[in-house]
Amino acid sequence: MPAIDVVSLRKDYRVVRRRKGFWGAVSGFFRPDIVIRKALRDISFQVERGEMVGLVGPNGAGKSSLVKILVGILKPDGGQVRVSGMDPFSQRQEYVRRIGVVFGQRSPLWWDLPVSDSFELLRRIYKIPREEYRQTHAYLVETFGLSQWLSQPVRMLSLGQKLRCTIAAAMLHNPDILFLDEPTIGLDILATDQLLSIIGKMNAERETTVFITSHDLTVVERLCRKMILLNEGEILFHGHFTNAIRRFVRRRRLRIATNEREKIQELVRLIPPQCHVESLEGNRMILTFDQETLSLDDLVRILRSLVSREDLDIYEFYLEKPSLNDLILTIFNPDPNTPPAGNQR
Amino acid sequence: MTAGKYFTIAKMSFLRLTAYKTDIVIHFFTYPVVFASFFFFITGAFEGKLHQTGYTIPQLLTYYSVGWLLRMINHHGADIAIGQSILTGDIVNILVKPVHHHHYRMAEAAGKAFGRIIFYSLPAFFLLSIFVKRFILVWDATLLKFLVLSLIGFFISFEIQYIIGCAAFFFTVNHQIIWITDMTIRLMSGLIIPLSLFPDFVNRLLTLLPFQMIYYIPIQMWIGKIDAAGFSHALVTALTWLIILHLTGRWVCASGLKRLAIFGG
Repeated sequence: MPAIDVVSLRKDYRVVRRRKGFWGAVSGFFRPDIVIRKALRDISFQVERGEMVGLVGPNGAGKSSLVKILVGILKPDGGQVRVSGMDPFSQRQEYVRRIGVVFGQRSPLWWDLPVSDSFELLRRIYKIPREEYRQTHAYLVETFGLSQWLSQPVRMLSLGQKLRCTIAAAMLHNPDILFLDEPTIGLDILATDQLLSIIGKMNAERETTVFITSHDLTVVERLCRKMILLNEGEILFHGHFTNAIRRFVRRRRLRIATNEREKIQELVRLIPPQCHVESLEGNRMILTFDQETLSLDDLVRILRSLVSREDLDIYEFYLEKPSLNDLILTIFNPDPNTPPAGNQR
Repeated sequence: MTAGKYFTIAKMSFLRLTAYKTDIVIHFFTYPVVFASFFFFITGAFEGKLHQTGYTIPQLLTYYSVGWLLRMINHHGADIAIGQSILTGDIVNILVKPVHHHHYRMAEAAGKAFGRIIFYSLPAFFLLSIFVKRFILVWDATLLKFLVLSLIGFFISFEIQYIIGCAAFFFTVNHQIIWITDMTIRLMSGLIIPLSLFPDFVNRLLTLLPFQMIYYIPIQMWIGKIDAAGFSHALVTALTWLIILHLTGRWVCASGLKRLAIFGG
């Protein structure tokens, strides 16, 4: 049985549209303009146990609605959702015992009280047996490095410390699935790195299924091998990153540097016509090419011939691995020089 | 045990109150000022015309004093907290836990009310007993009856606040609704004017509503204006209202959750 099973899920919002001008405001007061905004349009997918899946997409794609439906706080308008074999909305109270939820922008900890008090309350709420709680608590305190903050009121913690405590709080009852919505929002690069290491470690050790959504795509890229790409309430892609990159990102980037500045100008004249010079600075240049018009085999052949020429004096070149950022930019903000991603679907 | 987690929530709510000592101190000193202003107002407004009101000066002084002692307990702001959590979306922090929203909020209110009894009402009561000679003290069965009616009144007050707070599920502007209802309830519950002083038809109308159970009826009990038969009648009426309001609150919350839309992260 998959950890998450979604079939033809649909969610619509009724949104009041404001009319312009004074009379528009007056008439809108008595007869408001209601428009239906489709947040999720018949989406289906499955997530297996122990997987770490990233949910990505531009603003307004429906990510937040999907997460809220999956954690049981939003009622879907159609379709079926089963998480851990349960219906999240209608069986909410029983269901939420099996999941852990972290909304990076909303701390569930009691602001005015020490962290340990919030943990104790959660122990009572989830009815965790004392011995089990003691072990999980010790594990989380050690893994997240919380010991020195437990006695401090939450309001006195830094953002990073608070987020660590929040994620630890979501794990206290040993959930089957962890939903992380923007878990690194506002964190600096060091805190993000530590947090991601911990989440990865916990997934490996406890086989917790992790469903993560973040605007910081490097977070998703680092943690998850699989992703769901959402746009305007529809799934554009669901599967491994590498497949998504292969499918959507045709444009690749090649960086070349010569020992002398003059040589790079000479090199520009020799590049194949399929390549486009993206930038040229000093002794360095960046080339872009469409991998459908210039295969990697051909590129390697051309490079070999260029490198072997002593007069060009090339000392460095490398082919960039497309990132998730490139993928999103290619799909949602296509460069006029690049074939639109939609044609490749 | 299910009650255990709600007891802990109540305890946490109490501890939260104690986290802000300055707030406690400020309240402790400002409430007597409100009391004092009422004493001057009552003696000025009613002295000489008492035969028209049906109250003696000590009864009126006690009426308003006890009213404000209860107000300290009942005015815990559950409506504002619930409304805000819905409007800001912070309600998700409760909904993702295995708790009943209604019971969670009730436990929270009870914890806060307990703190307010300890820090505000009891000290104020002792100050009144010591320094205000005309304050009527009751130490017999009447006190017990008063406590029972006040306890039910507290829960009725909570249920009304819960419903008003949950109105945020349906209306985007909630603070106006909360403010207007609070003012109306103050008036219709007898906190500002004893209900018997209203014109007859208004009085009759107000006795059909649940608000009198929050202040008017318990205070009438304290100052000896309700007999044994009246107590039984008040008890049954109060409990009936409590059940009706509780069920209404659950229904409003369940309907609201179905249409809850928290946009954005």
